[in-house]
Amino acid sequence: MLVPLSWLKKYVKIDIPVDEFVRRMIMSGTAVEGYEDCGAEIKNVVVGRLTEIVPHPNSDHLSICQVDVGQEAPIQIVTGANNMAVGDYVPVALHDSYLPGGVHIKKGKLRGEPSNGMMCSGEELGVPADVYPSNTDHGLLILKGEQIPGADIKPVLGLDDVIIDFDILANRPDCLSVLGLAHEAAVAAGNPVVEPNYEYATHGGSIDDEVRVRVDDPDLCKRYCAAVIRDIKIEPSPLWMRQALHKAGVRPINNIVDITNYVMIEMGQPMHAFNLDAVRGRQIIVRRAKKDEEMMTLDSKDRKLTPNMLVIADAEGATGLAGIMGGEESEITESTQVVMFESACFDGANIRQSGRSLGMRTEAQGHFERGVNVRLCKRALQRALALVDELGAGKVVDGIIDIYPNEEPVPVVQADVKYVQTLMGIDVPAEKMAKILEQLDIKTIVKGDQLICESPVWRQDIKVGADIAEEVLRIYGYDHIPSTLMKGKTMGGHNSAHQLRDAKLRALLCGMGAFEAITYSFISPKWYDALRLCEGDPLRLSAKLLNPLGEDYSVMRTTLIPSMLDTLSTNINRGNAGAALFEIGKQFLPKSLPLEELPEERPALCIGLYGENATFYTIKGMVEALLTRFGVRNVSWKRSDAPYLHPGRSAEVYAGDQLLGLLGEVHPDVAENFKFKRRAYVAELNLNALDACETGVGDAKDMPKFPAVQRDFAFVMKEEVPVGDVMRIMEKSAGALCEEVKLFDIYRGVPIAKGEKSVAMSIALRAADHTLGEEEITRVTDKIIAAVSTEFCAQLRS
Amino acid sequence: MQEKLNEIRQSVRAKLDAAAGSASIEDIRVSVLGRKGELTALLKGMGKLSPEERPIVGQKVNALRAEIEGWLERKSAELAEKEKEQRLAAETLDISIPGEAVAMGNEHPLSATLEKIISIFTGMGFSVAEGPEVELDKYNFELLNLPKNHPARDAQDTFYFNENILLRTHTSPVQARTMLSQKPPIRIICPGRVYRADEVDATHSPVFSQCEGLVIDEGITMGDLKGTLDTFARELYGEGISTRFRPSFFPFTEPSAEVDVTCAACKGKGCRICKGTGWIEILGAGMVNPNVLEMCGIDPTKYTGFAFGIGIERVTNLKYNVPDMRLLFENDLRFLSQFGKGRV
Repeated sequence: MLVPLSWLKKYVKIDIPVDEFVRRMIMSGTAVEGYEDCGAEIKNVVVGRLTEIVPHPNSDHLSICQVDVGQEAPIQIVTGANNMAVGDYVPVALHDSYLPGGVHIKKGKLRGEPSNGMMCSGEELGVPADVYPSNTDHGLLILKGEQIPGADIKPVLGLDDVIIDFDILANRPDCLSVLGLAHEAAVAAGNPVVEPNYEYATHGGSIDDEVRVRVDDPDLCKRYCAAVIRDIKIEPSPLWMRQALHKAGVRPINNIVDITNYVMIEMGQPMHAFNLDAVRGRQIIVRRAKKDEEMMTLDSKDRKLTPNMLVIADAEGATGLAGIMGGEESEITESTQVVMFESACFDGANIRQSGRSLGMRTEAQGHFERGVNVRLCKRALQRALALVDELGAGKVVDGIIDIYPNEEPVPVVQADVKYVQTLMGIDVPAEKMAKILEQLDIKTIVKGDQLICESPVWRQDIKVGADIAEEVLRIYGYDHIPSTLMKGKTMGGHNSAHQLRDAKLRALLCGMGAFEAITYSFISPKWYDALRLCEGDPLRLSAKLLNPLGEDYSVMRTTLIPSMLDTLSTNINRGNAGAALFEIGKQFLPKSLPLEELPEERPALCIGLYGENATFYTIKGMVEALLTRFGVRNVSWKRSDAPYLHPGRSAEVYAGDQLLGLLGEVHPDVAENFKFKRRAYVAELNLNALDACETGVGDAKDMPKFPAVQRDFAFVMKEEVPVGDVMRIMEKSAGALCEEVKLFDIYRGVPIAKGEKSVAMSIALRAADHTLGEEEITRVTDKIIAAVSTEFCAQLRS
Repeated sequence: MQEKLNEIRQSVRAKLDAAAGSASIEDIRVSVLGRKGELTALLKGMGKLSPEERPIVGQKVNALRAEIEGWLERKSAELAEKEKEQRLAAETLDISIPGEAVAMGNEHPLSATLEKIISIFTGMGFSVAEGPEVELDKYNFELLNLPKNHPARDAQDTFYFNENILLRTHTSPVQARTMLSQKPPIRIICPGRVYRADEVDATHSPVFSQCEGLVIDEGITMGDLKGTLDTFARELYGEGISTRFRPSFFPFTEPSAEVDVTCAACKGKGCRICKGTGWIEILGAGMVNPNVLEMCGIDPTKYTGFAFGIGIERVTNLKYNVPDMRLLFENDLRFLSQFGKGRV
């Protein structure tokens, strides 16, 4: 919220430097985004009075002016403007002066005539036409009223001010007003608040003869206050009001509208002004909209209403959206003669919903959403009427309508002293607390070990003892909170099994040369097409966001593969020669669609790699190493039919019957869909399944006491025989003596026939209790040879 | 006889002095001490001597044998040493050639930061609690004092699946779930991914991560919160770092505070990173609101507690001076691999 310091100073004396004031406000709980000196850039610009204007002898559009700038004699200035007359007061930038934007003015000559400075337009000084209605775009800014030549221009234009940008916390809607902030400023500056004037004169008549008001839906309108003003004289509001509004970021319009805006900023109460002659039947009904009811709002837009929206209706239909925007019909115009001011308290949640569904967002709406103080509606109306009186904008009719069926009492909170002290961690004595609370106008009585606290009328946020603790603490000073260690039971902290598993995976994969990636959990549904998933593929069943940032981020991923492919693509297309990457993330698997309950969130590991030496066996090796490190037993591999993988170079991995995941080379069409052209490999593992199959290391075994023997075999077999199967048969044939079977070469080519391969393997045999004899070894190797030969039609190479 | 012995002694000495390799040492040994060696021959010829002479000569021969064996041993050790030196000299390598590349990956900087934070808090007796990322409105907002249509929900632009199911905007729902299922004392941290509908730019990401903390016990004070966070800040950034609390507001805590830590770059002196203030805002915290305790079934007259929330991206970006949030999610190897080059 932008607040000119000058406005704040109307209610409280602030006699400390701005930076110190801001620091005290922040440390006592009012956040400040920043502050700005509005005339900081303007230097050496003064009021001048024109004493003579003559045409320039060498120009048909320049004039030579003599200007009294408070010096011994007038100075000469040449100008191109023509809207001035002798006797006018204008801003004069003297020799060696500065204007906003760093413009430096120096004396010089214009077509041979000396010019000792420049007379300025409003634009050049950063003063908009809204604040100076007489100010035209190109002409000089003609100052109204009597001025003193040579006086600093900044106070004259209200530029000797600082604008503070307060960041108002959600629990302090009272501070969405200058007066609310003044109460905080009063504590910060140590000076009392001086309330503005709420007194005004009335001019007879009776409001009941002017308008009738009815509230049909009191659940959405807790209070409705109204007053009527006759003999309205629409004109610009006075300069001080226009300057104040402008600096607070609101455009001045006319006296009546400006008064409503001024009171909203001053007191936080949104006000609305109706042209009462345009209110049909002179009747105001606060009710929910009827089905299919329509109205045109002030911004000339037709609005279709629904029955949950609150409207201000007249005898015939809606004429305003309660708390959001008035209707065009009853808008204040130049010719308005009778005005009704509305100062009401509407339900914030309802206003919020209506505004959202209509796509509207107004200042008034913001106030209602955050909480308008029902107790202050009438006072704000009185303030507006006092301003009408002060500005001479019209004649206030006797009486105020105040429909307030359930009067809300000022809340009283009882707080236990010890509890407050515990929360704060400081044993501030009860009397000291009471003193602090009194500074905040919270009437406090100390009764034994209890504090009885009554909020001031403008505060709505003090409801429980913890609120009292905060009030005391923020004034006592957060700096005084001691740094203590928790007492009570000591607890053994432990990490979660998930975090430990993920940390282990990270350590292993980093050791294998892979880098961890983190990608978004929501993806584009188009990526499922890019994966070549068929129409009914279960991976397509993903939870869809109602309000995504865009289609590209609209569904919760059911697989990490597309994100990994995108990451690989980024690295490939940026020229990184090779990469191994992994991500640990969640797959979101809905139990039904649309979502009725929370989806299963399945942790998954995705690995992706490409590069000169990367092959199918590289990624398979990585996965095998991980499985070994997790003690997964009975691992087997089956061909995968995943549509995004190379049909001949992809596999599913199982532990017993449990599917753990899959891996393989990326299908070339899929690679192309992800905008890269080289071979790449991906794997995805279900980490819940991995957890389920993880086993411990078990008992440590003694070192073998007897030597192992190694025997090498080379079998010639058909190309399509799976080597893994051969190795398994060898293992099985060797039985208990088998220690390890290793593949060491696969050879194709002369003298091996086409369509066949020679597979060289070695087996290590060992008995636990004796040294193997030659005879025993031969028995085993014969068995191996026989089994492999019969099972796979393979021949032992001699 | 003595002459003969002297002769052998001198000849062996001369041969040894001339010997140039361990092979020739062996030849010398054989020629003197071998089965057919000169000294062996002398011993064999002892039978011809008188019984009186025999022990004397035997002694002399044996003494010479021992002496020669000593020489042989020393000489062969000397030669072996020399040969080793020659071999080592011949094996000299160009040490300026780079070593064989070992493939080394590293963790994502966000994981590294999070792991560090987790280890600090588990060391203080906190346990890790986790919960779903797709959450019910009830746990994400309602139980945390943020009823439907509460304006403070605006501060957390939320992704919805429907009226009741959303992407959690903080890890606080894990706190709510823990309070509902566990009796005090509670001392947990809740790390994880969270989501807010912020457009992607240099300082915003719709997906980010947090680590929140919650302590509930009898007599927990705001001083304990400060003590805990002071300890955390020191562990994370080093000695000389402390925290500063500023009053703030969060619906689920009361009193609430924004917490600044001493700028680690300038140690509080004021620099570009902390915009001259000496402080950097890194987290929000406060005393758990009694309404929240009550809604979660904990007696607020018996128990008090504190909660805090740390943004992992913010801590990471400040620690490593990462200029643009988007770099964290692009996963360009040239960015990621920087975090493998030193202590993280």
